[in-house]
Amino acid sequence: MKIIISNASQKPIYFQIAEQIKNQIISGELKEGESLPSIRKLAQELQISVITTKRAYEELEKEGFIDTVGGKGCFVAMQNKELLREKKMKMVEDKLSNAVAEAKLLGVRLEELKEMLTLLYKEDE
Amino acid sequence: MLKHIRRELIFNQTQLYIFAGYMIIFWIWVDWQDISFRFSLLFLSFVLPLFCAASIQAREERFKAWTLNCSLPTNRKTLILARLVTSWLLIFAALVFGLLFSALFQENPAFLSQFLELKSLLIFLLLSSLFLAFLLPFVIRFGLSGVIIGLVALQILGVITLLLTSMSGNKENILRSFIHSVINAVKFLLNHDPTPAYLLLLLVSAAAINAFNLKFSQFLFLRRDF
Amino acid sequence: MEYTVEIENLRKEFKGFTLKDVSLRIPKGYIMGLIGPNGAGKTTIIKLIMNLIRKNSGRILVFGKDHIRYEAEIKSRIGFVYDVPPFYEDLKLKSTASAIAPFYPEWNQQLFLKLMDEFELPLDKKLKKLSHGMKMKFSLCLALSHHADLILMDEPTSGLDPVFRQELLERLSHIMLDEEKTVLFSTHITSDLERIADYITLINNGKILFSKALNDVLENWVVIKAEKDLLEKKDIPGIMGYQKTEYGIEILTSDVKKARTLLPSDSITEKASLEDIMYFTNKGDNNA
Repeated sequence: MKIIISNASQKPIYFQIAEQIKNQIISGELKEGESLPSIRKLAQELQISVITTKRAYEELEKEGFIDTVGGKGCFVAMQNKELLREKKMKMVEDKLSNAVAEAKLLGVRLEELKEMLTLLYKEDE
Repeated sequence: MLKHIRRELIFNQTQLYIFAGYMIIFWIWVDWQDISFRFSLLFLSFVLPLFCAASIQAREERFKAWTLNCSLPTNRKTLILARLVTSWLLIFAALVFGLLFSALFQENPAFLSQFLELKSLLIFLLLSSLFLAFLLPFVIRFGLSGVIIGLVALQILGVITLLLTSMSGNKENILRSFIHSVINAVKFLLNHDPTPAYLLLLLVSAAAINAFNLKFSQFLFLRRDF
Repeated sequence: MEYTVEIENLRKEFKGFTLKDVSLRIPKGYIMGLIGPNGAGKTTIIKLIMNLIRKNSGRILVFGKDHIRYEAEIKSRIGFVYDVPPFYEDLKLKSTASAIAPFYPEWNQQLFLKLMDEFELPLDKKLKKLSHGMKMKFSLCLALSHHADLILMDEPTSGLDPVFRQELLERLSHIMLDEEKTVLFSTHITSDLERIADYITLINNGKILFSKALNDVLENWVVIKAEKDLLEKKDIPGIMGYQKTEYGIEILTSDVKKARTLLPSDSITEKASLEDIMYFTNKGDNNA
């Protein structure tokens, strides 16, 4: 599990942690059922307060991304397949809307854009 | 209490060798000088508590070790009791050491034979208890620097007295008469018949003085801020 | 929430300095940083907990028990690291340890030797031969060797080089893996605490200014940099101190959300560091 915290960012540290773990779960990097480091271990590794990691994990649990099993630790929760797909779709949609905005700025037409998309998609086939 | 005594002994282990050295010097001096027994006794009961209690206290002050001692899982009353017990242990060890030395190396151990009478031993106990009962609380309250200031003050007082008496042309001065009366008191104690009642009185007085010393020292120590 | 240390209305008078109305609670399993300028009262609080100095009034509970009535029992679970290591300088490390070990029922000689090895401390050396940093490490080593549940540290990092400091802090975060351990860490070097503390208490002039979770403070306290007459124009909420400069004013506020709504667009807000907080609250005292 890779977590990088930025002190310069406006986002609070617990938020950064929760966000990064969330993304890793959505992208599949963190598998369902995989165990996460304890809040204290994570705090030690990142050299931050235990309260911060606790809050991050609490957020994740609230949103259903992780489960805490008393005495055993924290695990990536079994994801609702539909919900996960939806979340992943949203990620793709976000990235596409970025590309569309850039394209419009540049003056690229829709036809050109569609061509580009098809080429890219077919690249691996 | 054992762990306390062990602690005090370990903390002051370097001091013990110095102390042994002093004892040897003193014993040679006593033999050499051919001083009266009562003066030697008085001197001994003055010097031993001074070395034992004062040197421990001096070291503690020098290294600010009371911070350590008071932070240990114990309370202040026990620390003082330990200090008193260890002081007596050292006094007796020094005495035994000195007497052995005298028995082995001196040709005419006059002091030794007189000292080993029960009466003499008990008088020594009484006198050194008296002195310790003065020294320990004083040092606890004022620290060793207080003792030095006190000694200096006494010296100055002594000098002033001498000056005054020499000016008035009087042979008898206060300081001299004080010392005389002390030695006479010791003489009186030594000359008394060693009846069981007398010996018991000596023992009980010594015990009472130590009890007072303990309580008073504990009281003073409890009030100190470190 | 269980509290390892509970202080209520503590008061201690000295000539020229008084510690007043100090109330503080340290939750179990966390690190509480005690910050403040020199002479603010940090060492005094720690000494009062340990009964090295006697309080005038107030209540101190450690592990739920009165700190004087159960003094010996409580101290057997406390490890202490003082700013000046209180040891006999002419003694070897192993002799010092040997003298105090019997006082702690939980003393673990194996652990002590292991820690001495890890800290690279020579058992046979006399204390006077050690650098200040090594003496501090020795103090910490002793404190850890009896499985202390509460570790009190008074300025443990001042006088240490940055490498040592980092080592000490890493050691502390390792200790905190055990949720049964609590640490009180007093310092005027705030950067040490920013990474490691869970809770922060700021003290100045014998009074506690606040005692909160570090996150709360770092998320909500900001320094506003704006034009000089901002204070006259607007009523900024939560001001904890300010500093007027040649070209403008810097204001520390504890309520970033409200403040942002009132500020003109050309003013800058920056996250307040603990050092900022210590500086501005000290100024605030002078300005008030």
